[in-house]
Amino acid sequence: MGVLVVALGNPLRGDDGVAHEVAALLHGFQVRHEHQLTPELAAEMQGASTVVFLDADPAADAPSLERIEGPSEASAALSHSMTPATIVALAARLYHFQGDAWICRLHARDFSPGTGLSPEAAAQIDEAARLVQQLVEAPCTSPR
Amino acid sequence: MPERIVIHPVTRIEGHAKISIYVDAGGQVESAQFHVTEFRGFEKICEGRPFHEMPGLMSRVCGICPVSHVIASAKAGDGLLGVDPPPAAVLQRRLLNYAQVLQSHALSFFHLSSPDLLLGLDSPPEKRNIFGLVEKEPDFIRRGIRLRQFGQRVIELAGGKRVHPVWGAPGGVLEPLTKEARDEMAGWVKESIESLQMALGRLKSLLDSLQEEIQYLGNFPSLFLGTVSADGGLEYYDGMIRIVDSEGNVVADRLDPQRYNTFIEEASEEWTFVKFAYYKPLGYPGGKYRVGPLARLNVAQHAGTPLADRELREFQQRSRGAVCESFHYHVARLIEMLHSVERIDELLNDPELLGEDVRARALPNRKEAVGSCEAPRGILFHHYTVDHDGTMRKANLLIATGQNNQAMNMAVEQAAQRFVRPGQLTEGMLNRVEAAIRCFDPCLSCSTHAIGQMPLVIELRDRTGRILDRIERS
Repeated sequence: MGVLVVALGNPLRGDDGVAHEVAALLHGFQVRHEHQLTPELAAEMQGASTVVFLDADPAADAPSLERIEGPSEASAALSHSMTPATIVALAARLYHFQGDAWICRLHARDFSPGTGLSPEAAAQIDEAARLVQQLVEAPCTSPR
Repeated sequence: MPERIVIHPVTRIEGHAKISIYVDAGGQVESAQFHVTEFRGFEKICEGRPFHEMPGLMSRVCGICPVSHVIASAKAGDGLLGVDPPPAAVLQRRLLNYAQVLQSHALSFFHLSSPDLLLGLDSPPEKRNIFGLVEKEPDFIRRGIRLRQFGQRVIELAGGKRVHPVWGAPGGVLEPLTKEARDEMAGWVKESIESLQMALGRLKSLLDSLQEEIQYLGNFPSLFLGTVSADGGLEYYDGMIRIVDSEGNVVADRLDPQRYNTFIEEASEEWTFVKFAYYKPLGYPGGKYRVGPLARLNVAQHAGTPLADRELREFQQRSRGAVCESFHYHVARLIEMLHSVERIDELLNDPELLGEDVRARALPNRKEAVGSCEAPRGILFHHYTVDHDGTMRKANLLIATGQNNQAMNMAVEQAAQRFVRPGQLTEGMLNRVEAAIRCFDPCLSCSTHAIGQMPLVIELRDRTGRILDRIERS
């Protein structure tokens, strides 16, 4: 397995589903659609060279890529609150994952029940997909 | 001065809750309550919707056991149509229900409870989690992850996705199973059985060192209620209800799930959003009963699969009557996982599983029906009433966690009375109170329809409600 993209969020909660819309535009690698992070995902990262998590973030103004550095165990106690960093740490320790791990934070503001994105969230999809596609086609470099 | 200790949020369970521990003037724990603090009201959402939408809607009740909700909902739909689903659909429903028992129990046992069991209830809380297990027992946790993966993969291959699959329907299921999917599923069986035999051996080897917890984390007489097959065996999809008492005597047998509301009633308390189910003939609170893995193994005479039967015989020898220690939900969960994998293997070898005819179609023929099945945490009922064109008028969901509510409250109280010393609170004491709850693996998002994670707070209060001490985890 080369590149794994993990799209996170609930598409029935408005902008929380934005990651899935971005993932739909990506091509050439494996994509997983997840509501939440659970330990099984660590096993699926085994052998991946690059893993990119896409996630809605009300604090993000625009799509941004950030490398996930080092292990994190901060929220490991609760199965419902595992973070991408926790999953990466678990994959490294249990499955010898040694690839690059990134998170792409996507602007989100409206998490009301229902499908569809806010205009602001929808407006960033193409740019986010371009960023991720560019990253994984040259995975060893920093994001541009 | 009388005091109250509150644990809020309770951790490593599914949903939001808190625990209040009341302390008398002499400094002894007097009583305890398990509060579920959120409400969703799924039944109300159903009203006015077409009944054939219900399985898809009910799949959203829970992210852990959506398959059971889909099955109970689809079975209620079968009843409204007045049809029997084709054999391939029944086999597929059974297959996915076993897969869900497997993945849900794997989450409960390996991810949520094993840190207590393998690392110790008094081990540092910052280590008492999956990373602590990775350090100490990497093979054990890898096997747990694989077991959950297996269950999730079966659900994904047949149901289209792992969480909230929309796959069941009134009259059957939406799609036949492919040979490729069946063959992939079959490839997981051998390894899964080996992992479960290892885990059972590991857990049983720990029991001697956990005697105090076994005796005081919810060990009391109660009724046990579960579904059995026509010959009294372990059954999860279709069957009749049996109730036994703590001595193992059959109190009621061959009860029809369709008539659940003639023998089960629910009471409410103002301090929690979860109702208290009880066995009607004995009233409230005397008719308290337990459901789920422990209850199922107490009501069944046999498992019907060779490896699980051997374990069941050993399990039932733990007591002359029913096994009343709630701690043994953990052992029962592993036996059920073993049984589920054996049943999955049988189903995958049944040629009818790949049948193309998977749905019986009809217009609504009845205005009221009940669908039931054994969900991972216990028996589940969906009771629907529709008008002449199939529009939902009323839905009532009776969930396992609600049926265990009285028992969970008793377990919390017993654990608090045994382990909590109000003047010298320690994290390990409070963890034992939480561990009593975890035995039941409550799914509060199902029972109250609350969203999210399970924070936990313990508050120490006097009888006027004044908070004297508080510990909070998030």
